[in-house]
Amino acid sequence: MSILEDRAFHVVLVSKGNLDSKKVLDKLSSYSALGFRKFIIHVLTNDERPLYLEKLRNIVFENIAYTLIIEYHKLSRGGLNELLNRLENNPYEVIEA
Amino acid sequence: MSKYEIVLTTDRTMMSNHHGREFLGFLATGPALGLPEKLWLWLAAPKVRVDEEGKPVEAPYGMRKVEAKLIEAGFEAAIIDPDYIHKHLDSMKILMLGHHDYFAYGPPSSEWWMITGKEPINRVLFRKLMESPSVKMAKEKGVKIIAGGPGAWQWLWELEYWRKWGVDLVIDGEVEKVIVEIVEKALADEPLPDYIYVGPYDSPSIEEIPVIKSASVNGLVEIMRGCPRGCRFCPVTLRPLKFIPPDIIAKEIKVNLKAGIKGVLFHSEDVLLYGAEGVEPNPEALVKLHNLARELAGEGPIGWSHLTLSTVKYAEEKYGLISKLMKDIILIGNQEFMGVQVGIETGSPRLAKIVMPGKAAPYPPGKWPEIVEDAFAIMHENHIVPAATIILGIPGETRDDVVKTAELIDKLKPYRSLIVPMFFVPMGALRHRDWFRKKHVKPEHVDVLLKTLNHSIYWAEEMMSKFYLKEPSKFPVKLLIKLFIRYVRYRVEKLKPQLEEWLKG
Ligand code: SF4
Repeated sequence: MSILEDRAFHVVLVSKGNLDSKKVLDKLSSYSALGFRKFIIHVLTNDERPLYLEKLRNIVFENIAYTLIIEYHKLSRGGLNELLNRLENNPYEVIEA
Repeated sequence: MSKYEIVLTTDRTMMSNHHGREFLGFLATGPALGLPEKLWLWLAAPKVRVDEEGKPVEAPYGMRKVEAKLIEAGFEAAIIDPDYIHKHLDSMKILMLGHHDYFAYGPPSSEWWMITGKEPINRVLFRKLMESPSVKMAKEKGVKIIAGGPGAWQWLWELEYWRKWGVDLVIDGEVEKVIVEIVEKALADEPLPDYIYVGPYDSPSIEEIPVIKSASVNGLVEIMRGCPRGCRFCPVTLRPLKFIPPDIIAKEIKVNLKAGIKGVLFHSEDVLLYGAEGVEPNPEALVKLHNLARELAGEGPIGWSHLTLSTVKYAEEKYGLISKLMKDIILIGNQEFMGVQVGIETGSPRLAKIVMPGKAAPYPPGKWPEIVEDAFAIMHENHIVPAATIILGIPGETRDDVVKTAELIDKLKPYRSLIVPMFFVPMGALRHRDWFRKKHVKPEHVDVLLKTLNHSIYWAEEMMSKFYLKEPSKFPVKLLIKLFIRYVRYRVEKLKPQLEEWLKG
């Protein structure tokens, strides 16, 4: 079993413009109330790698309590479907923020 | 022919033993002042001894832990001095970077930068490392770059460099539990995440923390992780508190001694809380720990990395513990004093209550100035020389808070110590230095800056003449430091009339 993914909650974050950090942080804390302490944030964006991380800075710096793993995906319908298929047996939520 | 598929490295400001004096490492966080850059660098961060493969005799402790974890997992991994990376280009698949302060955004680098307007030398040298032919060539060959360490967060403010240098992953936090899996993925060419923050839930257990395989800088050995004080917004306090068992500590001390390191430097957020129940010190555990170090290190120096001032006061007043440890165990043989880092942060009880309520425990935070003064007196009496930080410009700070800090510094005059002022510099402000200086630096701050400078220059000169760097081999270092102190005094004297004008309003 992958230690990185063990008991993680997957957040599929579709980011089309400015990112609403508060919305994402609120989601993390609502899932932490269910016992999750590790979040894999799959960011689907048109921004370039790693420059897209500028928009996630607030989320990273506002958090000290949970493990955060940030992964990049180019924004596309096909890419989103492929990712959702991969996550089929995992707890996840798609957020547009 | 090299065999190392994983090379761990950092720039010279980190890969140095600072002439065996941790205090001198502070100079590596500033720009070259009053000395040519080469000389400054030699003073702050001289090269370390290496073997024929470029493996340093001493290396930063955190990197030693990662190296040990990877070796135990069966990888060919080694810390390599930055001047020898080229020797491993054929075998290297992963280049791991570690740093406390990659881009000089941490204290006190950012303050030096703010005040002098010059880029600190740690930032300059890290950039040089990343733009060196060997790192460039490694990247061209497809080597994966993974950056970690306490300064990892700074990459999020330097995304252009991240892109330019082709960093594959930045990882922040305690990595022992996850690093093996990450390396396996990188070696198998599987996609890596871009950023990982390891939270307290993934903190490694004692069993998952390996014993270092080769020596750490100046014999540093970790004795505990975490902090029971519970200050808000502090990631350290969220991690489960762990005391490293004495037999593991002994093993690491032996690794260091075997490599020729003469002393032991205990590392913890507060060394006096080793084995403690909450903030109640455990004299028995501390005495045992120090006896163990003395037994193993013979007459070699014993040092502490950090102390909390409230524990100093409490441990001495309740148990006479400071004098017992210092007189009976530490200050025997050649050791005449011990340097340690402490945080005063503010002289204002009001601000102490708001920003660091846990720091004064078991005393009320409103008593903070008295705690500081009493702890300084105890340390002076026992030949402990604190390098103390003060933070100016904390959000919510009033002029009266700064005046209280100035008053506290006056009260600390009789006690041998260095006081280092730091400015609370919000990220982003570094790009607008002049604006920040004009808008946020108040006359009261300048008053505190002058007081701390006068205090530190006075005591630095006293220490230089009495007991710092007494060995004949350290004479050139001593001479340069004396020159530097004189230069700072000269600059301060020259600036004084201007500053006094400003202080008058
Ligand atoms: S004393 Fe320092 S390390 Fe401990 S909880 Fe407070 S801020 Fe964190």
